[in-house]
Amino acid sequence: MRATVREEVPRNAVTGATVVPATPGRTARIRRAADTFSDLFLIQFSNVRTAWQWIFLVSAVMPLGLLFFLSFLAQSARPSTLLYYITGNVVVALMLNPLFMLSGQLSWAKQSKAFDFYAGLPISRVALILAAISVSVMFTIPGMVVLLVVGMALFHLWIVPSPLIVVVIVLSPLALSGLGATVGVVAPNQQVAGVVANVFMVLVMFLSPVFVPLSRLPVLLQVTARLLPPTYAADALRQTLSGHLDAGFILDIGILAAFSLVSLYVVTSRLDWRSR
Amino acid sequence: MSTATPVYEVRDLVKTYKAGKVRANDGLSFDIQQGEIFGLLGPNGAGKSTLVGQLTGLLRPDSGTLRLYGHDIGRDSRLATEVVAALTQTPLPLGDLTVREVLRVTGHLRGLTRRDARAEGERLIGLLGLGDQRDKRLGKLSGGLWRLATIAVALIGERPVLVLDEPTNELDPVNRRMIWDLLLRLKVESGRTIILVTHNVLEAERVIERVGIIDHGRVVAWGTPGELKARIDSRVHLELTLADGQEGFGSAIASLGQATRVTDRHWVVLAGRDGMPAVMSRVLQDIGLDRLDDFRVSTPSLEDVYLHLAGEPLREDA
Repeated sequence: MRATVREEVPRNAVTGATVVPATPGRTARIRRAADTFSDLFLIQFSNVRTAWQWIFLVSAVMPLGLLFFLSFLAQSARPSTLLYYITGNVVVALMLNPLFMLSGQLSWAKQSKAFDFYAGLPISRVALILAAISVSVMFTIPGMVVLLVVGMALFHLWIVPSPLIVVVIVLSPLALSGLGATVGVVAPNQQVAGVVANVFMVLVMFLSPVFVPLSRLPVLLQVTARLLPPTYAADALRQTLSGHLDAGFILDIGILAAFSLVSLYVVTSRLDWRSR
Repeated sequence: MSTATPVYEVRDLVKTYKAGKVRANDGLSFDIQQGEIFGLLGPNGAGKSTLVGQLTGLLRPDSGTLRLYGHDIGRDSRLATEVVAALTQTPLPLGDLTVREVLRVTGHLRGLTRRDARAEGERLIGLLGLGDQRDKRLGKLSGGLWRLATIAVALIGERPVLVLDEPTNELDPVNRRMIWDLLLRLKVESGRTIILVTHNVLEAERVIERVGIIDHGRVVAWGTPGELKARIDSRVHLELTLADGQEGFGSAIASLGQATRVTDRHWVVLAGRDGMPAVMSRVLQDIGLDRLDDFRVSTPSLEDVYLHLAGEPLREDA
């Protein structure tokens, strides 16, 4: 912290104004943090506002394609299996926007020295990362809803979800955006970030229990699956649709929330915008 | 100049890259005073951008001290974000916002109220002649207009210290003149301290009060343009261009003293400050203005100083 009392206050020779600003009080700082967040949100939002149709299309094409593919395969599957298909695709959509787009954006910002602009402003890194993550979450939620509705329509499985689905639909893209932001900030460049995001994608689609029950996976994959947030997102989503919520749901939500917080911490501490 | 704390106190500043192999700043020491326009010159790769990065708090020095209004910003750069605004060579991540939005958001992030940020943005748009561009996206502007908009971004929020890295790149002569005049006005009317990095030495000479030339990460020369000029050739140049068909008068020019023939019609005569009036009156008497297309007297410019001090001979020494 800067000292609040200074012996000599530098002043502008012409205007007489104090040059070094005084340290603001607590309320002023909180209000400023909120203001900062809204500005940074606008900047991050502007990066996608001209291309949101494309982002939406790209993030919807793969899960929708998978849905149709599964619908040809599994016309006579049991409702519990269909539930896996419907929710699994929503989780795949979670990988695209939060993981791919956000990790790409942040690694590119790092590579192109875009953080220099932010580092020159009196703002906190947390505010910047939160803004980027919020935009990512905002762009992911509509796709999740569309996929849920299309999935139910394709499999003729109409379910009224528990109201708690709202929590899942906000928290899961948040946790995955945290993962995406971590990849973006830790990766040395955009290419590496892309490769890592791809690996995560494969892990989640084929090696985690988003499409099949956990018990059907080999032991090793049961362990790895438990380390990945999509597992918990998929489970929480299924529980809100299946009608019986148990203690596992609380665990899912807790882990997704913990994941969001930890990744925010990691990203903020790793984003050393004064180095190089 | 006031005797208050200097804006910047830099002592033995060292910044290296590639694990110490490249010494971008190699023991720089200097002060920047309140309210001056300081010109930082140096060839490509001299370490100017690294120095700018440190002065703006973006880069952490390896060693040495870097004080801004007495605060060690090498250790904690927060003060730099409060009092310094920079125009750097890195692109702004704001390409999808309109010029008006960019200014409003940046002003607000620098602590202006939304209303003030909006008003200040409009004022700068008017000042820099960006009226027709205000609703265009920053990323869609052509080079010169983009440059003007980024200058406006540096100016919004009225930071007391401005660090401008090549502000006149991409600008046409009219806009370059406008920017130099603007910088002078900012200094005189609002007492701002301006650090100017530029290759446009000839034009910058109009506004720069003190100059630092760095090369290979070290200070090569430091002082007022006058002091630096005194260090190099102080003779006055007389450039003469004979009119078409008057080439025969070359011998008259050659007899003036230390004269060099550039072409049959174009001559350069060098003379000491004391001797120049005599040379000039002989030109007027023996040749006459009617026989001359061009007649020009000049003293060494800051550019001559720069070329002399940071030019090739220096490179060969290294």
